[in-house]
Amino acid sequence: MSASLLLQYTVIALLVAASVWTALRKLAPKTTARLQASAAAPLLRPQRGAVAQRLGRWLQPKGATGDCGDGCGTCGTCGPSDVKVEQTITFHPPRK
Amino acid sequence: MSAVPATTTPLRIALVGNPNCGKTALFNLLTGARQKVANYAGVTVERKEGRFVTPAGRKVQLLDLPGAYSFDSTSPDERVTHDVLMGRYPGEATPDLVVCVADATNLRLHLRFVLELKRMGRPVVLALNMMDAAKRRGVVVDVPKLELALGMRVVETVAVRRDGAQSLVALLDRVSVDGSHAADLDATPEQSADLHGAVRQILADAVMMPRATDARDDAIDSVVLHPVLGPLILAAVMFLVFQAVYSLGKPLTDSIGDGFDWLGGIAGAWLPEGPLRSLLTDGLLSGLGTVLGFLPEILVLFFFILVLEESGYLPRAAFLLDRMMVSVGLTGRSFIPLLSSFACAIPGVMGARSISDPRDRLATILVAPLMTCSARLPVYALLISAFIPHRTVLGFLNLQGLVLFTLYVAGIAGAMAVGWVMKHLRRDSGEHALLMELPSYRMPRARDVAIGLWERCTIFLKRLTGIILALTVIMWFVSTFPSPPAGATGPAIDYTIAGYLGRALQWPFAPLGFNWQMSLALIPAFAARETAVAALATVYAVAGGDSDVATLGHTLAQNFSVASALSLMVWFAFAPQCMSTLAVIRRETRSWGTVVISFGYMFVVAYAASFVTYQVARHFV
Repeated sequence: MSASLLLQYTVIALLVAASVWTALRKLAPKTTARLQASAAAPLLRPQRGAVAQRLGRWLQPKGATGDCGDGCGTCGTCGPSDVKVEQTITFHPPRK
Repeated sequence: MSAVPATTTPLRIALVGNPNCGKTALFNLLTGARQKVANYAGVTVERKEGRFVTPAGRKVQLLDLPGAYSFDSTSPDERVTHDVLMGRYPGEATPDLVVCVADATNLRLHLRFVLELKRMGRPVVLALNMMDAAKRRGVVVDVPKLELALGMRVVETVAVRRDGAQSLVALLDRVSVDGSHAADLDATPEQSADLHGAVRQILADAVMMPRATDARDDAIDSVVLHPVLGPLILAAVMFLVFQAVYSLGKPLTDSIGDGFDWLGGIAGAWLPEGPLRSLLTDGLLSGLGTVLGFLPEILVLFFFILVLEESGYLPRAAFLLDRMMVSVGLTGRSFIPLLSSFACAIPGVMGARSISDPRDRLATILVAPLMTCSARLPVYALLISAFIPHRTVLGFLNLQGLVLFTLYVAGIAGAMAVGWVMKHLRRDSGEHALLMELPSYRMPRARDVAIGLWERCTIFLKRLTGIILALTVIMWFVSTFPSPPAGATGPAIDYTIAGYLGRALQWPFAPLGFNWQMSLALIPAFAARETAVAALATVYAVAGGDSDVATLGHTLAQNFSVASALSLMVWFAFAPQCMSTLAVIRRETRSWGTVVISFGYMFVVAYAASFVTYQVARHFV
């Protein structure tokens, strides 16, 4: 197998793996969250180093409330799940 | 309340009021959020939270709560408001201050709720919203007198203007609140009667209204709510919307298809021969490009829905359809959730929270997935453009638009039929009268419509680059691997995972006229319906076809019969092909039984309807 073909298959394998993970997260969010949590747990043990701890935190599933605030974005009527930036109100005088 | 310097602890404020008084518009104005607003009651069905900082530096945490007419709440969304204000909502501290938003053009109704709030004993500020409309109608509010009569601060607001909450923010900068405890809110009938008397007295003292209703609204309503003209106008409006989807959207769809075709050519020439080029051209560009091509048609449809929402016409449509909906076991109150289902069944199922009667709510939840959601539109549009000739009938009707309209009507008719069956199956046959507030008409604001369209576009693109992209890559993979064995004589795709899977699935779907490619496309469509289009494009592209929107149409026309295409469209009209919707039904009803019933009845209806369609059509078409 040529190096070019090997590279192509590697890229494809990565893309397919990422796609399967994305689809699983959408179709079975609880199962994937459990998988993430079990993968993160050994990395988050106190005796682990800083890099492992950081990786563990990154792997940990993000909390989901299971309502419109989840920002699942499937239906789009929930709008932004929360307002991330605090807005300072500036009022403009009405035009004469 | 008294004036104090600003503190670092955020002031927790809850926005409450009757439905459709502009709470969410005020929330959006203050926090910079873009929560959905529309000119009818029941848009907000759960709490939303935002933050802002006043010009004096005070931090405010703002809660937008569902509208409520009274604390004698009966529907799930009103209970949210009640529980938050009473400090009984899980994980939610009691608000420091309640801003009661009232529609200044309809104080006769809204002041009753203000007085109920006052009885709670919590600090309340009254925001008289829509003051611009009130002034236009000649309503004069004597604010100092109103403050005196109500015993609370009153400010004027216009939530749809950039500077419309200036007086409210200035007030928030000045006030501090004490920790008064909530009073018992269970009002007796005598207390309710007292409230009506008190409202009449306050109106007599502090408000001057030339007439109870708007003369302009009355004039329009005399036509659009006319028993004969009203339904005719409604049918004409809906019909024109679907005609426009094709007439306006199709040229743009074709342009996008051409664009992706060109892009595919460039990528094909640039990349070396190999699987990566196939993934890019046959998978991503063919699959995603075909789905993206239908964005203009979706946007045209939503443009009209947004305009109708903003104008105040939709609650009138609910009123017009109430009698018909009651006759089939639904209620006019189901109209708004069902209408939301044209975007997606998920907000429709959630919107059913505004229905207080559990029986009506369940009926609405069960039929909501039958409304034609926007994810079905690409499938319909592809099959219609491939199999229905682009010609005019009766001199002015676009035949393709007519077929699309019929598919939408089929969804509605299916919902009506299911409602009717449910009505006859259950023992409780009581009917519940529709009490619905008809909002004042208003000219849709271009900015709101543009924001609505932008959000719809963003949602579509997020789906496209998320789940649809992922499924397209998987679809390409299963359509490409494994390679055919040495000495294989059939087409390469027959030896792939997709080939084996599709042929296994074809057996149950053969009576519906589906070939193995169509049967295979139903699997990813369960995660996102539009993916059926991408799946068909990918499978045929891998098999050697060329697949932008136009050429995919030709490919399909060569591989399916018209009867099969009609059968597939009917399948998509009724089939339970959305996992997210089933998950939301489980969450909203807390019952797996309802999910099983929902899935089961839709599967049976879809199978039966597709079977009949195919078997009849193959003899005539």
